[in-house]
Amino acid sequence: MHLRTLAKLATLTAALSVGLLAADSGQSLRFASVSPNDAVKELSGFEQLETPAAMWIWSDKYVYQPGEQLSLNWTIKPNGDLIPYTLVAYRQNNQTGEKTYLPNGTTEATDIFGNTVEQGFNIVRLPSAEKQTLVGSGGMFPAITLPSELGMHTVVVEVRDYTGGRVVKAAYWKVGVVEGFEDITGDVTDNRTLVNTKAYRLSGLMIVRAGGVLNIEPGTFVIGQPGSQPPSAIIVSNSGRLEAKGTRSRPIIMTSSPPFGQRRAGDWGGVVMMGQAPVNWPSGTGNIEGLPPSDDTVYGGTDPEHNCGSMSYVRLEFAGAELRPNDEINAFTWAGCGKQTSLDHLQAHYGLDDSFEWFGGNNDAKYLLSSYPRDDNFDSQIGWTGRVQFFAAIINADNSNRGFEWDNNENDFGAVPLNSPTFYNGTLVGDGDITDQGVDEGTVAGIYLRRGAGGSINNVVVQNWVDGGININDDATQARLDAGELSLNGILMWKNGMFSGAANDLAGQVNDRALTYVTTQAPNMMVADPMLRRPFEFSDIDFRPMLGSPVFRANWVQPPDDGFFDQTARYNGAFADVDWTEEWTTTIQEQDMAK
Amino acid sequence: MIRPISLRTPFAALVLLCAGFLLPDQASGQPAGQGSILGFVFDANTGEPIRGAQVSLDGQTDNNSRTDLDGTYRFNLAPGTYSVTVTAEKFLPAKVEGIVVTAGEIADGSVVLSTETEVTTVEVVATVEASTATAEALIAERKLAPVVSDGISHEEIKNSTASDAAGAVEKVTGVSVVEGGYVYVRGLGERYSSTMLNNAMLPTTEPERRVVPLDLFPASLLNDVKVLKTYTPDMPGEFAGGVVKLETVEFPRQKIFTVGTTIGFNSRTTFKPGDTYRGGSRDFFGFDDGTRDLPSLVPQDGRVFPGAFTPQEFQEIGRAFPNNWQPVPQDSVRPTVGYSIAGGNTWGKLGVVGAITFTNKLQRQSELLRYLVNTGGGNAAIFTDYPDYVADSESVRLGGVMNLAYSINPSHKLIFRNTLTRETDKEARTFSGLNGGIDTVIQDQRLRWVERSLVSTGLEGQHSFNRLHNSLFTWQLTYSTSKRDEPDFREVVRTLRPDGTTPYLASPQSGTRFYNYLTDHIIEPQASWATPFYGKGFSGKVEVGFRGTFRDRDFAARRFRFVPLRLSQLDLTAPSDELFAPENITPDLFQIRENTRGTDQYTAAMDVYAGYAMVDLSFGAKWRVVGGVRVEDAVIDVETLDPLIPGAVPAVSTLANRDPLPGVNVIYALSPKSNLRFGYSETLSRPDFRELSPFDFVNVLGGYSFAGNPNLVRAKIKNFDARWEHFFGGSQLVAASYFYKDFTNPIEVTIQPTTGDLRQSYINAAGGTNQGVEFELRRSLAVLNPKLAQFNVQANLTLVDSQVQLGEAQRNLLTSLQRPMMGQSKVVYNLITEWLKPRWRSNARFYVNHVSRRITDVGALGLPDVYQQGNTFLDFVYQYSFREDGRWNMRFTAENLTDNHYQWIQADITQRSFRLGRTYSVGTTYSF
Repeated sequence: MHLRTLAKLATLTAALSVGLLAADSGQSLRFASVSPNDAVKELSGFEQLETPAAMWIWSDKYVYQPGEQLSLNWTIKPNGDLIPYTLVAYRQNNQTGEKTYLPNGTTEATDIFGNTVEQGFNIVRLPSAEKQTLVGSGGMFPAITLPSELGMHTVVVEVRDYTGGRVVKAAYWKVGVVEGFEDITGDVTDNRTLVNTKAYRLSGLMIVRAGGVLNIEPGTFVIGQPGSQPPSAIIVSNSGRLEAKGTRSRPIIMTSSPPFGQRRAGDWGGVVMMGQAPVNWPSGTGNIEGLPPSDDTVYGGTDPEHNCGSMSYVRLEFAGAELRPNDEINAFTWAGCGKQTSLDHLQAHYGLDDSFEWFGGNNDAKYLLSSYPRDDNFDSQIGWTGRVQFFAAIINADNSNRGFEWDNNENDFGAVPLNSPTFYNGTLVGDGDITDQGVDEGTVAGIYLRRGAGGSINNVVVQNWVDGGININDDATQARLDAGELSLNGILMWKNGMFSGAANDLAGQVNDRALTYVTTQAPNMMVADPMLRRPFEFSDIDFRPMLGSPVFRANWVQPPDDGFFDQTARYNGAFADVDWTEEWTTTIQEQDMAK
Repeated sequence: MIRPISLRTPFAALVLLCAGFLLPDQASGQPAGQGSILGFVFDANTGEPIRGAQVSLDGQTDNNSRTDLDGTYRFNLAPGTYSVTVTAEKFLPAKVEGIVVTAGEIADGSVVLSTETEVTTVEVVATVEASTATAEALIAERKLAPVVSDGISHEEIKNSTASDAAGAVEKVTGVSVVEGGYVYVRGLGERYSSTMLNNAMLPTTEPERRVVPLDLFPASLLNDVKVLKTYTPDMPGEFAGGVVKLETVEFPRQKIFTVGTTIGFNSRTTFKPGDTYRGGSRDFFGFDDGTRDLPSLVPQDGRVFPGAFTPQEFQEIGRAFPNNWQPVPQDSVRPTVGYSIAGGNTWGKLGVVGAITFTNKLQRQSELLRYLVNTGGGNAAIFTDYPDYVADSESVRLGGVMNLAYSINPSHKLIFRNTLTRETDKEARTFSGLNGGIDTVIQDQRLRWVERSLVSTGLEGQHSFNRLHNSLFTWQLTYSTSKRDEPDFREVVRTLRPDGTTPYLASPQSGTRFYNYLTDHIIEPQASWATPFYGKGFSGKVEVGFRGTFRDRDFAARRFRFVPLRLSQLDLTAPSDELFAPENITPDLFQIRENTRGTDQYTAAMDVYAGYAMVDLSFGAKWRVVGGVRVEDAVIDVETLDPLIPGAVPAVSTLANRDPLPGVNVIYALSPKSNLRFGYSETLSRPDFRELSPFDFVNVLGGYSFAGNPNLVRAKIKNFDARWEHFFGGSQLVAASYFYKDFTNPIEVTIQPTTGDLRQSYINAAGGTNQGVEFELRRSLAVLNPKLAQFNVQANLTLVDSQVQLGEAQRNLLTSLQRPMMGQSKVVYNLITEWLKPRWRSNARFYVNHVSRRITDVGALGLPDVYQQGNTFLDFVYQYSFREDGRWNMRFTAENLTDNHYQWIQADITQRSFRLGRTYSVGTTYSF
């Protein structure tokens, strides 16, 4: 729709008056004001639903104490959007829901120029800004003084339509207001709760041992400290539990301690959960690396219902330190977790190894976002048989290997139980630059299956992977396809394999082993542009499809009726109209924050 | 902490001392124009030296002498023919006649005495001719040895192709040498053999090993190498296969000073292209000049990690590492060179001997290396395939010995022994091929530098007390230090893209700088008291002793990696020295990171207190029993402490045991020239430091990571031995042995699955047995035909059968639950043909050495065990004296004449293979 709007706008000769909101330091944002009448005239007959503009905001840190000043930085790229909007910014206390609007600190809504609804919001065209100070010294507004209301707060900048009534786009920045820091490490053997009125500095291993339960309140910040050995990580042993349930407005954020712009993948470890569900080591169990072997460090067993705990709305940033040399741990690791484990809305951002990796077990998960991992996005082996619905992967030119990397068992391709997870509704987007390679692996394919991997992959968008869309890597895996133990159904591919100049057709999008399968056995293979909104606007990604996208084509696969899958998701990809990553995730590239 | 090895000072001292031998010597034992008689007097029943025996020169009653601590006496005499008479309390007198003394030479006047009981196990005649006395003494010495020791004498070492102790010991019956320096005695791995230098235990230079590799000891520093295969209570109780005893050069009986040089050519290396890398100014001598030191900007007491340093500081630290990553190709590799100096003399009561040896050897090793995987149902397929794994190494070996002996009087003697040996390897290694772990064709370049050294200093005393029946008190205090310094290991991994470019790959081992440092110390006090006794129909001695072995180890490593941050901003296809150029070390491009682990720093200690009592008893004409008991109290502590974290709490693993270890040997003399021997003993094998630590360590040299097992217990071994031996005379003999060993809780390797990978660990296996037979023959071919008298043959053959039973718990992990012990070859034989032609001033030897296939890695998860295929080696040496007096010699050696194919097989697939090429060398020595 915005294309039509733009076409109309191009014909407009509306008088523009340029307003300037000056800043103290010469830094300035230029706003082109539009009168309400002109705005109405411009937009009559159109409903403004979306914008190509990108916008992200950030402050200098996540965790503040009451009375501290918060400054906010802003990048906005109109990307050719000339439509008039109103802009609203506020800080929200996520405990109470109360909003405090800029610039005057009112609880009544105003636009950023201080106009109330009654006064009429100032209508402006989106300015262009790169790494500008929006709030704080040198910015449009004085710094926000944080109140003594402990817990998570969110700074929000909204782009609303000219009426000021409907939000077209929003940028969020989560901060914690805490009474102080607490250092944590060591064993958890009882019921322990991390609260959102404090921030936690994690150094070394925190191991939830037998009988222990680690609870983390919504809106809690856990800050991994680099430099400790073994690295800072939360390890849930096979008889402990982690209960980390955030919410969309109060996600649990685990990150690293260096200043923004200096944080790097692998600054700290990540979260490892182990359980006693079956794995396909012939001995029935395996040992987690990096820890002295004990009963607590073993994973795998005979309890398919094992409960490792639950995680909701949890964001891990810059995880993936080495647990042993030449072997980094993943942001999220699940080893032998069973069916009672509950996982949804998880993001791994800038992990040094894989974003998500499963070693056996059968735990399910929904709504997984992987951004800029240094290794693979979704990795599984050792006999995992769980289910996943709604997952997305974003990589960039500096990070990432493969979208999926599935094995059966890298030491025995025939091990049982077979590693065969079921995935529905995903979007895997490579970075689209044909000169980029994998960080530490070759053959950077969207879906990479090897070493006898089984499973079922359905309704997945795979586009712009340097070395192909689907790669069946070896005979053992091809045999799984032939035996029906591995299936791919409903794969929408586009512009994969461009490094080797592969054709943008089925034969070019998949490797030879996969080609026979996709051309004879799997009807739902398609090569077409998925028409995603902003797949390569890295710091403000939008993977939702535009109107007319083939993801809405009929005949994609209906998810099974098994109580886990959302059967209404008959579209291809992770998103339809709703962006389930909104508010609680971040995809801001570190260099886009560095000043 | 990484500290430089500073061996330069003692080494310099050694050089100065050796230079002293060039000075004219007035105090030498032998006045000009005279010759000497030197004799060894020992007990016909026990082989023990007889101290304080009266020796008189016939017809010269005023010229008497007494034997000293070693049972030796000496006369300096004008040229002529003499006879000596030897008398000692409780022994029958004996006389040696016809000893011919010539100017400047030493004649042998050794003699065997029997007690007044008149029952002896060797033939004793009251009067013998000097010419036969020497040979008889030799037989008697071996026949009377309380335990069987197979050895290589100084002469044999000198005449062989062996350039180090490993090469020398390889020729011993029942011994094979694995990986260039680890001794397997009777098919039992290095775990079951220990090494002693001058009767002191040695620390190791290798962090993953229990024993020091024998290739560290240059052959020219050694007097002899003995392998003791049966246990007596005076030996350390960690004994199953055997003890390798190295003795450094003996004190000369007259002034010697010899210099030598060699040059060597390898058919696959010399004058062919090869790689090296830019190093320091002293690389040729094996010393790093500081080029590879950890940059001073890197803090000694803290890790380099974000938060602790600003991006700017990271950049400075990163740039402080030398930008030197690439191998440098050379068109033509130069030959191997070697130099040696040895000298010694006796000034009155003081004897001094010293030697220095230096070699700089170049070798290219071009391997095929593969790793296999189980693709299901036990079907093995190639997983990782490196067809051109090429290592070019420059090995510099430097050794020195400086021993001093001071005889206070014939009954009291002090000896001060110092040994230094060091080896440096400079290596440039490249390989490429499919890496199965990441399914990617990679190219890898590594630069390496390893300095290994061992210094051993010991003071010992020998005191005999005439008034206490010539009881002998000996004591020794030895301090030994091993060091291994591996500074600045560098590795870069690249990938081969379909378009032929080889961009840098940011894998965790790519762009790494690795430093590690190990020191292993042993302080070992020991003392023994032996009193001979004599009675009606029996004689012998009782002996009590003590040995404390206090060992401690320090290991430290630092790991760094240049991590690329904005990969897209780098030209990844640039050569490594451009890629890692200072302008690319910035907060946005490459940033240095430290990945040192807590377990990269550990200390370990083992204290063993041992006391023993034993008796050596001869009775009747034919029986002799040597037996007793030893009690060992051992405490092993491994402490892992992260010194880079202030206030870190060490993790300690401890194993403590007290064990009585009995041993008895019975010798029955079938005839004066042949024996039957039987032995029974109980010994043990303790876990090594790391095997006890619960932490997982990464093998410094690559491969599996491994985790120790704090639940390990020591293994106990019951040893049974039987042997028949017959001495023909001289060094000629024929012998056959049988051995059987029963292991309880032997420590064996197992595999633990981790997250995705496998990790090696250790378990006590249910049990194991090891049995075998050995045959040995040393014979002059004159027995076939007198015309063949110039040929001697030495042959030995060992057949071993060993079985380990692993517990049921290993069933699904290890492929074979019952298999031969790792490293055991079923068949080992040596055949040495010796040709002596004094008339042509020539001699030559032809060596055949064979070891049959052996397991080198245990198979896990459905893959079969890895076997190294059998090898047969042919070596040849020819020596020629330019002068009749033997002062100027040359020597030609040809080694590995078959260009042996080293090959490892797993599931009928070649897992690893290489050839080292034939090596020819020519050397010359000149004695002043």
